[in-house]
Amino acid sequence: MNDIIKLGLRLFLFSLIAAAALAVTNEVTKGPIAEQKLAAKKAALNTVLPGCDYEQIEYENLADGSELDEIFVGKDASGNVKGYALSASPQGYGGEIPITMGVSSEGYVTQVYVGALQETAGLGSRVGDDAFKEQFIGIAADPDTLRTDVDKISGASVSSGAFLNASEQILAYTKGTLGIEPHAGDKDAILAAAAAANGGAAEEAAPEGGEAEAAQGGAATYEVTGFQPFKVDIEVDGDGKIVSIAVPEHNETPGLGADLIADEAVLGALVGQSIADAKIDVKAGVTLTSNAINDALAQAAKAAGGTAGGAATYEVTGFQPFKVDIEVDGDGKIVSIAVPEHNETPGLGADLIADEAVLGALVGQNIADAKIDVKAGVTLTSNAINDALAQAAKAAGGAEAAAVIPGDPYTVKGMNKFTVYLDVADGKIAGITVPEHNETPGLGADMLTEEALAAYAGADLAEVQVDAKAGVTLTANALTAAFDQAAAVNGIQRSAAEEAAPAEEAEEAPAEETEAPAEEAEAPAAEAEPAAVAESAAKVYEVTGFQPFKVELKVDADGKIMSIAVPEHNETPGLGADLIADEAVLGALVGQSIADAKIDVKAGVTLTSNAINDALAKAAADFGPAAAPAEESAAKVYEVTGFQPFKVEIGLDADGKIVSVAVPEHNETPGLGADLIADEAVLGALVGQSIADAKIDVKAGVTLTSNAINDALAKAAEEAK
Amino acid sequence: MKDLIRVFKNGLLDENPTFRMVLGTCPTLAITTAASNGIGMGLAATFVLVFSNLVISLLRKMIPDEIRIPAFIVVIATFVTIVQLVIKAYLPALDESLGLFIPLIVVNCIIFARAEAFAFKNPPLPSIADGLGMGLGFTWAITFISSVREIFGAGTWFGMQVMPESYIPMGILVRPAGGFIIFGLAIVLMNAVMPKKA
Repeated sequence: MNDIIKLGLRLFLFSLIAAAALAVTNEVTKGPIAEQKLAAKKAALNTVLPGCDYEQIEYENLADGSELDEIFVGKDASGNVKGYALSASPQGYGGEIPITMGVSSEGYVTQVYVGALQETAGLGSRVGDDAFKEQFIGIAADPDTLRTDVDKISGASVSSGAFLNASEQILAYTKGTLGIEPHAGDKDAILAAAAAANGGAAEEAAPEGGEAEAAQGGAATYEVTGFQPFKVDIEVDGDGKIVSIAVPEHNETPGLGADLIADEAVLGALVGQSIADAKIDVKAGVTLTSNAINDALAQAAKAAGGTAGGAATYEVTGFQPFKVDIEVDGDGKIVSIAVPEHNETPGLGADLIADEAVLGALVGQNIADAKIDVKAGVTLTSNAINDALAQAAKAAGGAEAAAVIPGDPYTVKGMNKFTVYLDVADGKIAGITVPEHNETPGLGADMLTEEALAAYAGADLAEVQVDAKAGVTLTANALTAAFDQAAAVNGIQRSAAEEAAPAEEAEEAPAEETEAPAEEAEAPAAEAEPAAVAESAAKVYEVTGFQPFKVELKVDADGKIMSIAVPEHNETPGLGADLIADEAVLGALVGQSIADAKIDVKAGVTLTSNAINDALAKAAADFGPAAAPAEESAAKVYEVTGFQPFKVEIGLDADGKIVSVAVPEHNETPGLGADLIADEAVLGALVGQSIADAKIDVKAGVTLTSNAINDALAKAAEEAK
Repeated sequence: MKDLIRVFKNGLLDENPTFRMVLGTCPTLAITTAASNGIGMGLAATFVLVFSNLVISLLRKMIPDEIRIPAFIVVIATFVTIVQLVIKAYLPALDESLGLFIPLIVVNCIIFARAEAFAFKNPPLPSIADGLGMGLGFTWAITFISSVREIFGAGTWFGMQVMPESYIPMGILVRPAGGFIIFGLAIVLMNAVMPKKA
């Protein structure tokens, strides 16, 4: 008995001492551990919701078994909710995968942040790689479209599957409980905003908003590398003058770079200088450090935006990566452009770069539109140089471009969206500019050159008409739409376009989009004069989905949908009927421009969706100025067989170029042929191509459908001969 | 002093815990996918080894034989927990990569074996030398295995790209199966280079 007590006491003693030691250690490390956790959380929040004040909130009505951990709301300085950050830790292959996803209140996913992973290196661990995470940036915050926007990683189904499941739960919460409407965002803007908010100036242009802010000055930290990497804090005032410049810490060589940085005369001399041309002398022995500081100054100059010119180096890739030095003056004119070294192909890209006439011709041009011709055989190198010019143009600042262009912007859609700047004075067009567009070269693009637009200068806004030529209907209509909008804004009544009534009944809906061409008998478009200002009464369009039904559409003076309703119908319950009843679907159309409003055609509800798009197309034709120019040929219908028989409507212009390709209805396999047909990129890419050689790629798994479409194209080509 | 050095060298080569005594294979296989993991784990284990050897050696006259095993565990677990808290507080990156395996040092056979076989029967100073030798022997062994697995299985070494960009890493090496294979091959190599003394 005594023995047992003795042993027990001994053990008790050891344990007591051990516990005391642990208690002490715990106390000491408690603080730092909590700080580490907080830092990790902050890192996540700063990445997904940059530049906000964060506040942790509670989940409401969370389902059992939900993998969601925490939720933060991010508010900006004025207290407006900018977005939410939700975290989840689903079980992966080797452990938990800590995910933090930011969802902007504007409806898109900002970024995802992945914490420490214990997944298999090279496989599951790839969910933490940029390549995987980048897929999330800017996608619509919709759990239903998540899997289309983000691919799983093959070979890492467990990890990426768990990741996507958790992401779906997060998005289901933001869409369902928080009520954030999914809406895709701009990836570049998101990344730029994150970079700006987190203090480092990226090599690329500062965001548009960032430029406006930088015009008021500001402080930022720039990462540069001299002998070693270090950071430079530069503060610039509203006039672009350096207020302060400091290097808080560095590892430059003592006696050399370190002395340079410590030398007050060197950095001090920069204070008060204009950031646009601030530079320090590069002395022998301290080249790396001096260049690094000048690098920081250049980045600051870029960030300061519009006021500055400045020289910078842009990294591009032609045949091989190389750098282009471009210097721009305060007016945005190129002062010099050089490629110090490169590995482009001798006889091809190398000769292009060496050709003084090519680069020399750029000097003096406005950086905003400087470009070199892309010649066959040197495409890679030429495009790389244009890439560098574009980067320089962005850096030179949107603020400048905006300042230079007089007039109000009107965004319209021809072949693609573009903005027309119209300066209206006394009811006349004082100035008209289209700074950039993606209209078809040789067709719509010709209408938007400076010379072509000059023809409208001085014209009476009430009377001016755009010549609609064959093959440029879309661009012409867009230009007219811009005039209409400007007229409406300025309170001017425009006279109806004379060539309004199309000679033929058919079809011409804006090319690459709608599947359903306007039907003759029902279309009010065929007869009525398209009034420049649309009426506000609701118009009824008869369309046929599974069954015939009527769609009531109200469009306001600017072509925006005010309301859309289907009072009664006989569409299939559970399919078309649900689509019509779904407020999200029809509701999403309100506020959209009638010219490009359409709803997604989903498998299983093709007939009903197409019918609704049909009604939208008719309303668009009603609203906008005239549809089909007389010279364009009507869309022809070709019957082909993919997985199942279906019809392809192909519209050509007088030059044999494809104006429209549409498949109004089909029974191709959902997920395969159906997706191919629904993919706007596929059919849209055909528009503008010459029918003689238009073809779509035949991909594995959708051979039947792809071949069917190419079949239709071939038939159209035959007939066009 | 010469004795101390002999004891120390013992753990490094002749009685290397990993390649000769084949102790502590669990962490050897699990975390040796990256060289930095190897070093981190090795040094953590060395710290625990040295201090637990020291404490057990100091207390060897006071620990009754019947309760020596619980006593060892209390001592070892205490030091492991201290290591874990310190790593969590000041070295979060290591905490992330070693994760679960830090607390598992408690049951790392090496530490227990040395406590039982050496520290319980020897004075403090040799115990420290033994702990240091064994710990460093373990460290270099797993760092070697980690390096091989990382270089050929991921193309990097301590995170730096060492294989050319076009090298396609042998994925199997970063999985447990590959770990076993490399472990076995390393033992073969060790025996070839330094045959066991009879």
